[in-house]
Amino acid sequence: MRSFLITLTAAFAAGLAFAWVWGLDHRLSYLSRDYALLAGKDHLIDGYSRPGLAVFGDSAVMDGVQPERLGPGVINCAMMGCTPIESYFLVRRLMKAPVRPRAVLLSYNAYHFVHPDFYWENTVKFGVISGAEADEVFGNIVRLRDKELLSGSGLWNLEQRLYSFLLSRGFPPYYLSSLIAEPFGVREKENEEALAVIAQTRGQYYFPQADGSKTLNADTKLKAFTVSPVIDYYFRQTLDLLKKENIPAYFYVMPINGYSVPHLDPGVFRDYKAYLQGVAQADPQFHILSRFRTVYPWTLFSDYAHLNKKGTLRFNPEFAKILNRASVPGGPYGVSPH
Amino acid sequence: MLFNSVTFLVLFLPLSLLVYYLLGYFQMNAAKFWLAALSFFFYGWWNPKFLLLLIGSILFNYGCGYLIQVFERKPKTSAFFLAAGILANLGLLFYFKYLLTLLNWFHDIGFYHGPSWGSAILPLGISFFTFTQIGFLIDTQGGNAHERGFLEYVLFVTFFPHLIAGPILHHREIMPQFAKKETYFLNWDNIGVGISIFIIGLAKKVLIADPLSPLANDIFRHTADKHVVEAWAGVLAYSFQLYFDFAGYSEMALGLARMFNVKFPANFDSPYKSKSIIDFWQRWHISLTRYLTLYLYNPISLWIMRRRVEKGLPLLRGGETTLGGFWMMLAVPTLYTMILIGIWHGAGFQFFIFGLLHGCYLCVNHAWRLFGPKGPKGPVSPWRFRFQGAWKWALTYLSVLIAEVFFKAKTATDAWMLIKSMAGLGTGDSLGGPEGVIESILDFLGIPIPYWNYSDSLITLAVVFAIILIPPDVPQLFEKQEPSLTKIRSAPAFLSFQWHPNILWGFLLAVLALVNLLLVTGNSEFLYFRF
Repeated sequence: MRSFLITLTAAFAAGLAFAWVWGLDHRLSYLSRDYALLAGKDHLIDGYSRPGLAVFGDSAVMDGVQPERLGPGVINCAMMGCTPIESYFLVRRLMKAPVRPRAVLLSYNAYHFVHPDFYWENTVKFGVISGAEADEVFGNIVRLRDKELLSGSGLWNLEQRLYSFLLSRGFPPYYLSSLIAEPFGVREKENEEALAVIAQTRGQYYFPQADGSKTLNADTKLKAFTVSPVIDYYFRQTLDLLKKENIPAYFYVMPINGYSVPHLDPGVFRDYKAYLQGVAQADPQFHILSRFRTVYPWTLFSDYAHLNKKGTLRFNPEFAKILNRASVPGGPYGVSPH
Repeated sequence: MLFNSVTFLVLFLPLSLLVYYLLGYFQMNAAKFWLAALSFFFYGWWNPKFLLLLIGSILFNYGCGYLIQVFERKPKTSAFFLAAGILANLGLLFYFKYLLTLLNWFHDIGFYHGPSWGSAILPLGISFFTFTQIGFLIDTQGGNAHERGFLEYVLFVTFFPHLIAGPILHHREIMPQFAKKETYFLNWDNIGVGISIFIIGLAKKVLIADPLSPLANDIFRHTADKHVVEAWAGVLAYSFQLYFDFAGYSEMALGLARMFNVKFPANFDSPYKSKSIIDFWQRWHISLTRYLTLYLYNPISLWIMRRRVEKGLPLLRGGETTLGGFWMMLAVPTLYTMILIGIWHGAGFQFFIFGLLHGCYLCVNHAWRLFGPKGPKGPVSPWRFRFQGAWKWALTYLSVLIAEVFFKAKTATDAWMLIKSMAGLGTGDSLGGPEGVIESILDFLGIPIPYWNYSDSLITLAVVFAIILIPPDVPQLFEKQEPSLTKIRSAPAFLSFQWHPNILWGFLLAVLALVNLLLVTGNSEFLYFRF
């Protein structure tokens, strides 16, 4: 029995260790394109060397804001499904770079203040935040009893606590579904390309292109604007951090598809605006830029939220003017570096 | 908490075993307390509110048992406490399982106007822990329950490997095990056997049952007008899923208990290899069959026999072989027991039909045994023997399969529609009717038909079928290690080999354990949790 149990334990432990180490080391070869896009942002932050405007926000920002059209000091650190939780840790990391940004721009639609949909699937799973950072967030989730992020199952949130811990440490079972979907290395080439695009565009990435879309914006799903306590906490933490570093913060609401506007709940819009204005009143270094909602025709969108090429062509010069008018440090914007 | 969850596998199980044996080394009672506390924690994990229900049920039944024993010389008083205990248990079960369904039914048929009653959350394992305790009360009244230790009783009811979905235990076989000192000392042989059985059970769930679930669910979601192949593929997928899910759970329970030096009764013995329905029920959910035979079938059968004796009617074989005797002594208790088995699974009419069907199957099986043609007296040629075995097996499995359609379907009407599709009477994407059947056969022979998209599924089903029929199952594989308390007769397997505690088996099971762990999602519940 002894040799049986020793073999069983040793072979199992060796197999698990191999799967764990290999899985962590080869993420680019089997995880989805989203991982590559997020890893690209990490590289941007790690190699940050030209002070200017650092932009953080959700996928509408990632798709719409083109650093190449705005100026040499601009980088786009926005991510898919990004909420202020992720932005806080990215900003914190950026503060450790050799140079500091002159200004930070934040932008999230109302939905991403309410529902942190991608927190587990992208942020933790893809290593946007480290294991220790994930533990820190989980502590705050429990402390603030955030129902958006707490499943409520299991005593003392033990199950979710363990899930968060193991997921953020690359525990193999949580990654195997990706491996089955696209086995061994199939995704590597596509992911390398995505990384290259992020490096070349300084963070901008087009989502699937179309010549117009009448799909409704995620904000239209909201019936009430109830900010997730954890999101609110990290939003304010980000502003505090920037204040401490003496870096001004700006907020801009990306253009919305005109087709979605009639479907928006006016109460949600009002509360969203009031929330941001309240934060701005409390923090003199936080500014809301320009009009609160800019409406673009549906023909300038690829899908529910993302501008198409025609859309970005119109948006970026307009955005540069807004930045210049507000004298956002790091400008002038929209001026060719040559 | 699920046996197939990361929390259970990574945290709960290793920690429970470690502390259990550490405490057991120093103090037996401390280990008992730990095991009881663990089991309550395991139960409360899902919904802590229902812990009170479980604790209340244990205290009530233990108290009833105590009073029955105190008044054992006053039969009327002890019978009163027994009746009160059984009624309270059945009332609890009725409240959670049937009351709202019944009220909603009254609402649906227009008996009551107003809002519908919604549905109650069924406390996990309520059917199992209620039945276990009713058995205890009946045995106490019959003078057959001698072990009275409260902590042993708590462990008998709550011991986490069986708490949620069985096997249904008998106090006589479990409470003495918890009273023994050896149970609390580390035994590497039991750890080795237990872990091996657990890994195989988990593989049945994770590698076979779970992947079959989408195909099965897809077909049962909308049962109307399915193509004949689609209907068969879905029903077979469900049949295999049900077996591997429940057998996997039962083997995990067996293995877990063994790791704690406790032996459970077996719940499965390759039931899909059965060659008659009588045989099937001796191999499928064995602990439930045993329980209902003991506490339902035997009492009613005995009562009927006493009546016949009073009336001077013949008994036993002479009595059975008359039609009246057969009806009263076999058919009535069988139908009654099987219908209750059906209803035990749920409140819908489909469960009633499931039980009724199996009751009828068993009656036909018994009738054939008693009234049917007798086999040749001389030796039978091997080919004839095999042919007879094959058709008996096919007929048995087909009957089981038809009943399983009712078991899974949302309503009896849904089940009937699916059975019609299996018979080629649904249209689906094909011609339907007899042409549909021919079309499918042509397709099976390799003539391409554009709508055909089930070839992958059929290959999977064929592989799973081969796994069911060819290799030895856990009872045969671990025969020498006596994996359960039940004496399992060795069901013949095409391949026969035994588990040995050697390096090769250690390596093979390590690979299987690793694959299991990598595929564990932690959100796939066991099918029997809803009962």
